[in-house]
Amino acid sequence: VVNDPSEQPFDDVQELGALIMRGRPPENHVGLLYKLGNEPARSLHLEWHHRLKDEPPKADWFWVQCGLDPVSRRVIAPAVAQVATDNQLPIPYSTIYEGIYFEGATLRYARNKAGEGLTCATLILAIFDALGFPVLDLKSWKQRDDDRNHLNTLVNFLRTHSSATEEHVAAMEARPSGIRYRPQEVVGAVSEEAFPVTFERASALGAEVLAEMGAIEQRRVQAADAPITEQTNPAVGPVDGSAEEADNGA
Amino acid sequence: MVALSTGETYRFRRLADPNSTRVRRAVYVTLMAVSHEPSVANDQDRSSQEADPAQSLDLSWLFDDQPGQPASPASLRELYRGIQQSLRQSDYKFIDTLYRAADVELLPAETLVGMLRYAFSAHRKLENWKPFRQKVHDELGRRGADPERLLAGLRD
Repeated sequence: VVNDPSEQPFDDVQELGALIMRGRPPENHVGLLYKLGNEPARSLHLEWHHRLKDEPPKADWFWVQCGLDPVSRRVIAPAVAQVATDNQLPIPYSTIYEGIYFEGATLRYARNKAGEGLTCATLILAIFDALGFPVLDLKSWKQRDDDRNHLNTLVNFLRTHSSATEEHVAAMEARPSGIRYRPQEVVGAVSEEAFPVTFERASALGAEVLAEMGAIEQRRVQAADAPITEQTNPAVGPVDGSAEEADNGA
Repeated sequence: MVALSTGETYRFRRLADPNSTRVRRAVYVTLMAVSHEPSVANDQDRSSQEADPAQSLDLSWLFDDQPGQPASPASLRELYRGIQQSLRQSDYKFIDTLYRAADVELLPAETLVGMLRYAFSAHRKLENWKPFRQKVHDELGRRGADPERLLAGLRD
């Protein structure tokens, strides 16, 4: 599911995909990857409070191909390209996801009461929703033990590391909902061939995404370590076969 | 024939273009849609269109794509912008007229699906959205595509 851009460049995406990277606070960060015709691929993501970014994807993203059919992907990608334009308004950060977030039938953000906003993950859900694609089966969603703790961590981080007003943060804090749509689950769901994706399936896909990210990171560490080992001790490791032969007593 | 604004005159000239009959017919359909048709538009609407040609949308690019080929990202982006502009101005009549006038046999699947999806959030305000969805469903089926998959999620 997960592609390493050093092996599978972002430009290999077929019209539409999703991006994921390790982020701070203890949260993976996600966005959309889109490509219009022969133009280079671009990313759209809500980096943080009032920080919607439309830019070339950075090297520390991993990416997955959107599993929808080519016609649907070709329809969605131009709309994603327009989200950051058209006098887009600042999008507040909030973990509460409910209802419609865009003005009329457009993709211009429209909810600015205290506590309202989107996360990097729910921005993806909101865009797909507006185009008639409910990515997740929200009715099947379940609250998990650590959801509330995670929400509290994010609220504290928002309070100390953003321009969000105390009124906004307090309104988020006061909401009872602790349900969380985890970034890796949204990315995993986008890779599916059909929506909406159930809680159980998205949870499994999210775990798969994290496992594959971990495996790629491990390969990168091994690749980075390997030349150093060879230089410092050429006898370690089969560079041209001679060391292996020596170990075998040949 | 209704009076044409400056932009519509440009499109009218395209009718004389030595393209195929199918393309000429498609552009004519666009003309009728942009003109809001005599039966739909009242005199006030028409005079305001003539006074400000920018209010009428140039949809000739809709037919730049070759029949049978996928719609280009550029034309889909224009379609999205055009529909969004109308929705922001609450000009539902324009989109409804487009739905009624569009010849589904001539347009790429992406354009047909895009016309439905780009206005989906306002579909309850668009009286022709549902009939157009049915027309698109039937046309996609006629082409051998999977309409249920392509139109997934587009429910009332």
